[in-house]
Amino acid sequence: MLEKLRESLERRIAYRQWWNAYRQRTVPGGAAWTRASASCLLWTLVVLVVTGVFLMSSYSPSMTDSWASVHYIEQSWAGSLLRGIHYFAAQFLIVLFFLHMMRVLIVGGYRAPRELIWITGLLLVPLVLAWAITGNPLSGSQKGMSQIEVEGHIIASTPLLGRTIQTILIGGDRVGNLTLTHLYTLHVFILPLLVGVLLFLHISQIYRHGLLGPENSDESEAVPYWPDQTVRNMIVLAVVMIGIALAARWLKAPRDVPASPELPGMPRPEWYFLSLFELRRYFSGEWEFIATLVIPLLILGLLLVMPLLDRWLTHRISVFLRSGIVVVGLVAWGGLTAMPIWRDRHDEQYQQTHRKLEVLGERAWVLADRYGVPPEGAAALLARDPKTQGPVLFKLYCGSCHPHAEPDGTGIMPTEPTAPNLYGIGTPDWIAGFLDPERITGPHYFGNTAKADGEMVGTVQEWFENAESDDDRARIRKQLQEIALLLAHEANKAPQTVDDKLLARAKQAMVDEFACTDCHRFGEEGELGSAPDLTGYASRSWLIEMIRNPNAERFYPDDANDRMPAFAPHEFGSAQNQLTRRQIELIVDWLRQEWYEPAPESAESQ
Amino acid sequence: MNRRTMLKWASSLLALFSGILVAVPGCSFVLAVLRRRGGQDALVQRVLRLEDLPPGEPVEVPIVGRKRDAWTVYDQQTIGRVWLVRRSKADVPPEKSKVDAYSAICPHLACIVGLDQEDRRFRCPCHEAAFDLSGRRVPASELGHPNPSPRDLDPLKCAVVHDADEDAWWVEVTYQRFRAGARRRIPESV
Repeated sequence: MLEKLRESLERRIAYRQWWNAYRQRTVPGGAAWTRASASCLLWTLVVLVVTGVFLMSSYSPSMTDSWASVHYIEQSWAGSLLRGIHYFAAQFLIVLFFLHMMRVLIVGGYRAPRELIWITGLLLVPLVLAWAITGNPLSGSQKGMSQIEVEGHIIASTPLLGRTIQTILIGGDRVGNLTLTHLYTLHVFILPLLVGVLLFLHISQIYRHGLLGPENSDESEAVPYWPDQTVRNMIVLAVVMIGIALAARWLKAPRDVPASPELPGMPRPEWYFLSLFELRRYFSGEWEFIATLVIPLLILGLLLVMPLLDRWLTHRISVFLRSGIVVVGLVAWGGLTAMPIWRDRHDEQYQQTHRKLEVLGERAWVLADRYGVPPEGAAALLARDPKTQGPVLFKLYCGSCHPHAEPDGTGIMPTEPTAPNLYGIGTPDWIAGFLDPERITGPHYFGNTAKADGEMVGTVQEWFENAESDDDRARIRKQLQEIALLLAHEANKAPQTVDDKLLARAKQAMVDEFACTDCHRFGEEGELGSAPDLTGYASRSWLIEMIRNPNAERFYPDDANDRMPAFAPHEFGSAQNQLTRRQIELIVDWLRQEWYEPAPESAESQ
Repeated sequence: MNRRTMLKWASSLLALFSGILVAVPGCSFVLAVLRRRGGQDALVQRVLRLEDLPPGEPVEVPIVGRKRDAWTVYDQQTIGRVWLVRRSKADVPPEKSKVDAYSAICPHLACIVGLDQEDRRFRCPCHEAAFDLSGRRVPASELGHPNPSPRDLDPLKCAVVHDADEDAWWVEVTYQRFRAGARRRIPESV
């Protein structure tokens, strides 16, 4: 029955000739583990293509969507694993490729009649590297986009056609949407097509000429390839696949920060290009293309002509030359790769930027998990995050006068602080500082301002000077503590334990005992104009209005304002405002420490 | 020329015709980017209030503008970065204050040049091009390796202007972009 089926299939598609071509392969000198490099390489490539196709079904190549679609893929264990396999298989591929090439070089597999196998194989080198170059930026990460930006400029620095090729590749003047679509087209179609054609030639030539025997002869005892060599191939492949899968599962493909013009560049090439990166350092300006283009081409050229060269060399010199190339190549490559790694490890600024981008990458991922990515793209996630933008905006617009210094001394400190420390604004302890005679004249409050000898300071000092005993002072302190809690309650920053009785008591003390409402408005008590409104003190809207216009009657009208500018006194949207609504909101939310934080992970989860 | 030869010629020419029908728009499509050179030459922008610029301390500011990226138009995007250095002391009146502006785009391969606080110089993280606080290239002898940058940092026109409505003094920069990797300063569209 089965036999009839086979016959009928054979009659229609003649499959046996193909199967027999494989079955009839032989391995001169017996099956060998080192010969597995070729098969392993081929099947790793197939894994890359297959995982690639799966990823394609969910990936979108544009500046706004690429990072978002990658984040989406990572949401399922299958997507994450596929992406991880794709990423680590690519790294393995490059290593395997060069191991395979070295093996063929050492055994002299390039000699006649196998020159075309060698040549097609060598032509695959720039193609596989181009495959990697086109693939990295597709994640839409800052690292990937910086890489293609710099690589584009390197191409542009090639004399004659450089700039034309660069402009076509990146799709215009700047890296952007067209760059991603161009890279994508190259990565998923054009390069696979070219690699496929070369591989077809490569493999059909191998079938035609057979495998090279040991000791440079084709006449050793020929053992059938199938299944002896095949099983060794499959074992090596299985080990490699396990390695790739483990790396995919535990190390994970990179989750870098999304590309954004606001971020510092993180421009290091991938590890396999570090040697060229280092080589480039020794050539200045317009001669750099010698390091990035000429030298690699020369090495490729030397390898290409090995079959020709070999004809004129004796066996010993040929072996010497080949071993020399491999040894010198490995040592030079290793050294040139290690140097920038070592240098960066000791470069404090580089490490700082690297850490900062790592933190931002994690933050972007967390925000995407929570909010999803808006239509403007992943960069908008960080642009709208108070935790990320607050310090940047504060430093630029507030930080020349206001410190934002934490108790341990870290934080933002202007060279000449002339305004209160805003760290912890609205919290009970921060407010209490204004009510303490020593703290209020200190550097964290009015000490460096024109109010250091103003009415508020005088009033607070008076409370304590007029106290008759230590008990009295203790009572005053307790009452002021409660007032601080009341005002923090206005800011929505009082602890939950504050009860209505305490609030009522404190309000009573404010109005009667300490006469705060003689100058400050608070609810229905007091008037505006002589001191800042304490209604809703340090709440989100209070702070927004204060930053917009501190000169308003509600805050510090006329001469009461020491020197704080009005950052948005006109309607929001007006070009005359220094800050936009969003910028002020980001600063305020950051000052009030109100930003999204994920719940701490209690159980193991990926 | 007999009938068969003519038919062979006709086949080839007709095939060629079909091929050209696709190849011509194809080539034009790919090469179109070479022609499309839009964008403005310079963007004048008020980047910072003079009072927010401490004397002698370089401050990096973004240049914000409308950006077109193929099919997407961004209203307000950071399209450039500038280093500002206030040369005049704090007591010099604003109308006489001098501020220098330098494009933070590295003339080497267009990375963003940062500030090395320790060595008091501008430093590019990509390939370690370095410039003093006046934008001049640090020579290789001081640097320890060839300075990759083909020219000094690109200076930008910078003026301190007064906003009458708000009675405030602003630093106004004329932002331009120049070709990376060139020894001469070749302006490109912003």
